[in-house]
Amino acid sequence: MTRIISNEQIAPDVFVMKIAGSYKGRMGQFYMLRADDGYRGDSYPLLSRPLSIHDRGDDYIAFLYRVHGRGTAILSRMTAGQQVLLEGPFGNGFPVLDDPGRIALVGGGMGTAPLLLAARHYAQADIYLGFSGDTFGVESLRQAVESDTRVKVMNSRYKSILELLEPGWYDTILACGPAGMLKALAECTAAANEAALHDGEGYPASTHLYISTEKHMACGIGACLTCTVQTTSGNRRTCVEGPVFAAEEVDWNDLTTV
Amino acid sequence: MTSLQCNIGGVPLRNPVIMASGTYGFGREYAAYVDAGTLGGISCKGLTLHPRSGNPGCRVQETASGMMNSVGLENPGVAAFLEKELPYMATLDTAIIANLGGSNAEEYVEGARMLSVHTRQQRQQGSRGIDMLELNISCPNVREGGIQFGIQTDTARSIVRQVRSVTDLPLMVKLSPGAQDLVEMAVMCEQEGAEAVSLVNTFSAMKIDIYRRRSAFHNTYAGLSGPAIKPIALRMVHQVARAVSIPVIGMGGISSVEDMIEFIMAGAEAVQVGTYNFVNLRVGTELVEGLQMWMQQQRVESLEEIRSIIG
Ligand SMILES: Cc1cc2nc3c(=O)[nH]c(=O)nc-3n(C[C@H](O)[C@H](O)[C@H](O)COP(=O)(O)OP(=O)(O)OC[C@H]3O[C@@H](n4cnc5c(N)ncnc54)[C@H](O)[C@@H]3O)c2cc1C
Ligand SMILES: Cc1cc2nc3c(=O)[nH]c(=O)nc-3n(C[C@H](O)[C@H](O)[C@H](O)COP(=O)(O)O)c2cc1C
Ligand code: FES
Repeated sequence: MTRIISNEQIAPDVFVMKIAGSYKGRMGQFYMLRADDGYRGDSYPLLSRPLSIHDRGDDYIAFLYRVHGRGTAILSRMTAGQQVLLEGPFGNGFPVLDDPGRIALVGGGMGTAPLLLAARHYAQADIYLGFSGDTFGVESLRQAVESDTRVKVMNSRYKSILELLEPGWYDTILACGPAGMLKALAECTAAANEAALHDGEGYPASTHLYISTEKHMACGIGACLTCTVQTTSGNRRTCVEGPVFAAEEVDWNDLTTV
Repeated sequence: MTSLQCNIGGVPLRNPVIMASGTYGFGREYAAYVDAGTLGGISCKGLTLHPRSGNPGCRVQETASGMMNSVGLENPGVAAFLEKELPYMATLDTAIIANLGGSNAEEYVEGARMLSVHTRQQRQQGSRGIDMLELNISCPNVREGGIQFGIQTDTARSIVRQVRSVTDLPLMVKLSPGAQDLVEMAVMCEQEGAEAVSLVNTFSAMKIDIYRRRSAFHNTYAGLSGPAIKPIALRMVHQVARAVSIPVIGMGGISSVEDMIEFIMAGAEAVQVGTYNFVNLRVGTELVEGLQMWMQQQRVESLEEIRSIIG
């Protein structure tokens, strides 16, 4: 059930691993993965790695990941036919809204990974992607939405994704990416909500921004409390109550210092 | 017929496999993976009298064959535990061990008293309370709250004595590998009337983020657990088991049936499994089944035959 179908490099350091089997999971949920060396032994890496569901079908699940350290490097060297162990799906995922209004999906770098399922669900969405180096995953996103002109891509080390989009124009924004990008987006959205920019013609009354966050994790199921994030309603576990939070709930200091 | 039964301070356990405090929550999260009825017991997340929100910053870092955590005893407090968590735990067909920390003697005493009174009341009404108290004098992750009581025997003695005087629950004292004299500490627990000792808690450890030029942890130090600590933990259990006649509950890096057998041969009455639950969410049941199989293969009928056989 956990046989790798393919593990393809799509950009320098970026891979898509496709695994055979029928797996559950909604947009924004994640799995905990590890290489199965046949001996669940005491060697490095001990902990499994959280990866968002990138794509999913009746007989496969796929993860889009970047080689960050040793754990993901081990995953990247695996080949078709080898086995991985995975547990999930975990976390809340992006909200399923009956009426999202005007909606945008925003991804920065690896933050593109969970957006594919979101784009399939919200095919009416506008999509904004920011990369600093090579782009990846763009084509499948174009195919997922109603019109490929809705997908806007920026590739720059220096520019902010905010040069591409005006958050206040949207009723709903779902975003995933580096903490710095998410924070800038949240500040801009909050400012728009506050300044009642929304009073302009065609603007919504307010913008709801949901962000997918990252914390180091051990168990993935809510038992160890290593992944908590400080929110306006106390500590919340990224692996259970997250990884998606309403932007105004989270304590940015806690997210950006880690 | 092989028997996995063991007994800690009058509490019979169906087998020696207990889930370690802080790695198993209050049992709920593992319900989808492990039938609690297969386990010897569950030690709940470390409680304190008052709720604690735990440490800020990064709380976990991986290291070779181990992990460091700096959760800092995040917990809802004893009262909320009794009201919200224990009713669920009481439905689990396994021994319930309440792990209790504190930042001063009064907190330990009041926490222990509340747990004991509640259990007495529950039992009078024919329902279930906790089966055992695990006194945590060994958490390295809170500056004021545990480990400073676990270093020097005399400081620990005063806590154990005071807690003993307010509880008739079976009392197990959880020791720190950082104790100045671990054997003396364990002997002290026996003298003060504890029914058992459990060891080890995590080792105080460190990781430096060389690019930010500071500790990776807000609290500077964190607690090391996992396979990396097993050989040291095993030696400590062996030393303590030689020195006391109360049951010793061994833990530290257990990740296989063979590891459990080592601890039992070193003198452990039972074992606890912590970090490995994260690696394999089903490990509790798998270890119990594996132990049974190992005993059958090795023609060992009861754990007594192998317990403490290493001189
Ligand atoms: C909910 C969630 C979803 C994620 N989805 C994706 C995805 O789809 N694609 C992708 O490329 N990456 C994703 N990440 C980040 C990914 O988990 C890390 O890049 C990966 O764990 C790094 O492991 P490593 O061994 O290569 O790095 P190392 O730095 O060697 O890892 C050391 C330890 O730190 C942890 N760690 C390091 N960086 C992170 C991080 N950013 N987040 C969480 N833990 C970290 C590791 O899990 C490991 O325990 C996600 C993280 C979270 C929390
Ligand atoms: C994330 C985490 C949280 C822990 N929390 C507690 C706690 O609240 N109370 C306690 O007595 N021990 C706590 N411990 C220590 C474990 O119960 C155990 O003593 C230690 O991890 C060694 O065993 P292991 O190597 O099998 O994990 C914690 C350990 C971990 C990894
Ligand atoms: S990773 Fe253990 S509680 Fe979230």
